[in-house]
Order: sequence, then structure tokens, then C-alpha cells
Amino acid sequence: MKTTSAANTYADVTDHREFCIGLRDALPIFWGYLSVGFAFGMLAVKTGFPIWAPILMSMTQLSGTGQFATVHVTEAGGGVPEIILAVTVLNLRYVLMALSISQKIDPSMPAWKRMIAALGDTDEIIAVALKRNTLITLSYMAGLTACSYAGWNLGTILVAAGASFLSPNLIGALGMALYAMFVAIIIPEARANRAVLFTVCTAAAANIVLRILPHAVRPADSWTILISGVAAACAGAALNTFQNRRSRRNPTCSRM
Amino acid sequence: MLPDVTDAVSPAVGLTHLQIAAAVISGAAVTYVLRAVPLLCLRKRVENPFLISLLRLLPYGLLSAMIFPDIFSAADSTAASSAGFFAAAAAASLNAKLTCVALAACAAAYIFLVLAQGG
Repeated sequence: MKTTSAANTYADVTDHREFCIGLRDALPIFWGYLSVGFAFGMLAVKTGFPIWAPILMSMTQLSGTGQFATVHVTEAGGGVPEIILAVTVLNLRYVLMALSISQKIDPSMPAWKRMIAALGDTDEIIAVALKRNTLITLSYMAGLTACSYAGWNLGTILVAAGASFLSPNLIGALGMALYAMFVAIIIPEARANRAVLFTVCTAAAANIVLRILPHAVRPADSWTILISGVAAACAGAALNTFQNRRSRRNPTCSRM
Repeated sequence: MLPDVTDAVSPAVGLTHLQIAAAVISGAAVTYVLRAVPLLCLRKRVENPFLISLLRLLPYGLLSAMIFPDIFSAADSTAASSAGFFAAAAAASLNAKLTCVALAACAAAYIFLVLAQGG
């Protein structure tokens, strides 16, 4: 299995070029975010928020789960502590995603650059960045973030503008974009690497099983995702480490 | 159909602008802290083989759990969502670029949504 440290060189291009590659790589995120940002704006306005609230949320947060939670908790009468708790729980997976992407960043990258790179650490942006087989530069992250940010905020602002030219069918169909992108990130990697294939299948199976549990014992959706994702990755990593150790002792054994 | 900004403090929310602003800012702050702290704290390369594998596999596990089963309700109807999923899987298997895969899935779902309405 390739390790993340295998990609320890920078792509041999200028910062400007890196930024442009980032913009281009984030195009599918742009379309997906356009639809999610729109859906979010509609929900917030329907809930009774003044239009500036969802727009400000999209401008400052860039997180689907976090923003929907902020709206729901506020609607239910929750204050700042409840919002902090709900958003922390729902967005815990960002910690794991960010830990993973930290291994594709040059260890010498200064703190201020890391703080800027962290602005765009969404699931989608990290997933796209994972596909790069070189070190991730700040310019590349900035390109990814700028394009995604534009889509997200444009979607929310369209709500304020009325957006009658977007048919419900079109909005519904655009809802596929982000999931399709995840599929496109997972499939090639799962075909090339048995540990990834194992992790992907286990996580999917575990999450589906957790979701069909009876209502009384079923954890919230954000928890089932965390539980199945982390458990599957642990199992995959354990198997992988075990197999590699065995094949080192017995070199004829095929590596996973 | 511009939303009326004058009835901003609607009974549905029943909050002042200041309270709403506090909610918006606290949500943004928490999300940012969750994103920034790992990048600032884990600045070395992990050496342990198990942890290297784990950090590499985690996003795939989480993404897979985010896809399944939610992808089958992503585009309003189950039929349209399934069409989108199979289009995405087919395009991804042909190693199409991300944008092409996303477009193929959206197009397939759109066709199903339009057909379901009787054209």
C-alpha cells in the first residue's frame, strides 16, 4: 500500500498555476455547492430568518452540516452554548479529515499558512485534495476554496434574488453532484488498493445497517457516519498493518 | 418574490438581530476551530505504520459512510437518485474526470425527474 509520505515533492509549477489548477479541480464542488447553498438559503428563509442571516452564515462558515444545525438549533430556541455543542458534534469529522490532509502538507508550512488553508477544510475540498499525488500547497488550497466558496455563496444569494429561473427539477438533479463526486474519488482508489476497497465496503455496509436500526436505539445520522467511517478505517488499517508485517517476514506473500 | 426584510424578527424565530448574529458567529467559530486545530497541532509526519494507514483510510471510510445510503435520496426521488448513482459509478469506472462524473449523475437524475412528471 502506498503511504501518504510517498508524495513528498511539490508539483513543479508556479503558485499562480497551482491556484488555477485548484480553481479548475473545484468545478464539480462549485456545481454541487450551488445546489446545497440554495437549499440552505431556502430552508433558513422558510424557517423565518432574515435573508442576511443565511448569507452571513454561508460567508463565514462554508459547512453544510454546521449551517443547517445552526438554523435548526436556533429555531428550536437554543442559544450560543447549544449551537456550539451541536456544531461540534456534527462537524467532529472535520478533525479527522484535517488530520488526514495534514500528512499531505509540507511539515515546514508556517502556522499562518495553515490557518488560511484550514478555512476551506470541507469534506468535499479535502476529498478533492486527496486525489493529488503531490504535496498540497497553500496556493492549490486557496484555488479549491475560492471556487467552492463562490458556488456556496452564489447559491445562498440566489435565494435572496428570487431565483425563479432555477426549476425544482434542476435543483434536485444538482443535489447529485457532491455525492457523484465522492463516488468518483472513491472508485479509482478502491480498485487500485485493497485496503481502501475493504474500508469503503465496510463503512457503507456498517452505515446502512446502523440506519435501518429501529428508531429507539438508532444514533443520530452524524454519529452513524462517524462510527461506521472510523470503525471501517481502523479495521482496514489493522488488516493492512498485519498483512504488511507478515509479508515482510515472508516476502512471497502478496502485499495488500 | 424578494423576501421582506422588514419583518426580519419573525415569530418563527423570535430573536433580535443581535441574537441571530451571535448564533451565526458562534457556529462559524466552532467550525473553524475544528478545521484549524488539527492542522496546527499535527505538523510532523506520522511514523507508526498503523497510524499512517489509518490517516490515509479515514477519509475513504467517512466519505463512503456519507454516500451510503444517502445518495439514494439525493435527488428528490429514489428512482432519479439511483439513476444518478449508477451514472456516477459507470463514469467513475471509466476513469472520467470529477466534473464529468458529476455532470453525468446530474443529467441522469434530471432526465428521470422530468420523465417522472410525465414529460
